[in-house]
Amino acid sequence: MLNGHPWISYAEIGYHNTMKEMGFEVHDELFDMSFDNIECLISRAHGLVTMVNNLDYSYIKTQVTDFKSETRQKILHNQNMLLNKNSRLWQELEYVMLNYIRIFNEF
Amino acid sequence: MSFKLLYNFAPCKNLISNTNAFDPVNHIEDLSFVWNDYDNYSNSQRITDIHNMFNVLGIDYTWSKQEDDSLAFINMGSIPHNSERYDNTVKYASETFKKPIIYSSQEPWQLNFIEKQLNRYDNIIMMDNAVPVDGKQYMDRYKPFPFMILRMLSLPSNIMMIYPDLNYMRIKQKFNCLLWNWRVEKHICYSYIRSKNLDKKNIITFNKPDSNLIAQSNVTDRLNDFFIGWGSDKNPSVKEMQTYAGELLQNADNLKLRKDVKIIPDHPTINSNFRGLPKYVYEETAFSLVCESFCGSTYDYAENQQTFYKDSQAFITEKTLFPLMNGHPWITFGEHDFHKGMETYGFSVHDELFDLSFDNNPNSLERIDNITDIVEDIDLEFIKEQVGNRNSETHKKIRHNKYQMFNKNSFLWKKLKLQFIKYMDEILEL
Repeated sequence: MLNGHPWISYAEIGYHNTMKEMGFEVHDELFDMSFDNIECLISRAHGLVTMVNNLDYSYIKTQVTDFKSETRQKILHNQNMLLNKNSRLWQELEYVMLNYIRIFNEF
Repeated sequence: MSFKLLYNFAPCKNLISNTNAFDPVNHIEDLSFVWNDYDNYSNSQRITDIHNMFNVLGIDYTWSKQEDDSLAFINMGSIPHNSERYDNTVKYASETFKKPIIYSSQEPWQLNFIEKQLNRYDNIIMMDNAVPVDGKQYMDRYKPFPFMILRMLSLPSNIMMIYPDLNYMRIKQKFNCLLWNWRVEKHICYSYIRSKNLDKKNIITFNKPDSNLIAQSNVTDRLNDFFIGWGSDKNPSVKEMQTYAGELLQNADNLKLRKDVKIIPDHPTINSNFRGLPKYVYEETAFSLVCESFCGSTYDYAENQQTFYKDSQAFITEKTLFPLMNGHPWITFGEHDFHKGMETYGFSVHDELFDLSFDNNPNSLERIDNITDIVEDIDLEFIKEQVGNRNSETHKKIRHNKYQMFNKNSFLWKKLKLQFIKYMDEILEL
């Protein structure tokens, strides 16, 4: 994400959803994300690899190359989330940390 | 608060391209090919980094195609400001955009040059990598800003090798002084170091001038001008040093680190976006003797021997910030009042180690003479004790300076953010 590259992850169940909740954009314009909610980690891996195997690479290439595409918009959004210290991500992280510190102080 | 940044080709891309400012008469094609693009591998023309500056300051922005209420930044990178390429690009920007902001986050430009451009084009604003003076600004369309401080903490701008914790018990030598890229002030610094035999037991790098580079041409004239400008004609011992420095142009050898960080694969020898030094440079020396860049922004010395800064002051670059970020004590040969300037940005100077009374002396030759005397006289055992003791005043300052750089709520970052927002508001109101 920091390098402006589209991404998809094999991770814990609901990983992409969690990323969305944190304010990141997931590349559901490129990838079918239905594998993300499969409980069994083996089946989730199978779902992910099958989906990647069936991708139309010329379509993806067009999306990644075109400055005006939805993919490029999401790339910019995600970079901004990570790099701009006033982004929603950083505001929420600061809020969480300050809240913890308040709790520690009251403990 | 959110600002709009103008784009035309695509967001995050420079408003000008090579072909935009093509000069058919002189067949100059690479008008916007800024220095930072020059990596030979990527199709990286049209680079801009203005959004990285907003990011690191934590200022909101959106990209817009509507010029009326947007900020139109033109990235000049490191195009030499005395070049035809620069002139053509500014001319193109002035004719194409209503209120272009000609900027470089990398370079300072000389004030007389800035004045000339502002007088020539009444719709341009200029922002360079310089440090504004507190108080009155003479030119309302010139907005000097210490972008280099921002670049040091901007991930896309610089790959930084920062050591989280140095081992301060390995000190063997007094100082390091890295003078790799030849400049006249570096040559003078090296001349004084060598004349006092300080080059023998310390870590020094030095490179002879390359006449193919604009910044390294006419070196003898530049050197003589520097010495004569600071009074070598009236002082026999300084005249002697001028002769010695002139001889070094011919007979000095290049000095390299015994082991250096290698940038692989196949990047240029010097990559302005990669800043890293081997750890021993800091751990085996007690402090960094920094030779800063000079931007020549002082006025009125030639006529009245009174020196003051107009609009921009002593230049702060990565050269001082890098040891500071690595937790290494530093003393700098920069323009006069450099250490005072650092203090105005919230940094602590190491006056517990060094007598900094030379700082406000406008004469550069006297300053470097004083500095090299100080580092010659300082007791290595005393400084080892100060640097080795994590509860010493020196370490308190090391921690303080790191806090200033790395904590985005520090005085430094508040000051930078306020200054930048003030500039943007002023530009929008122009």
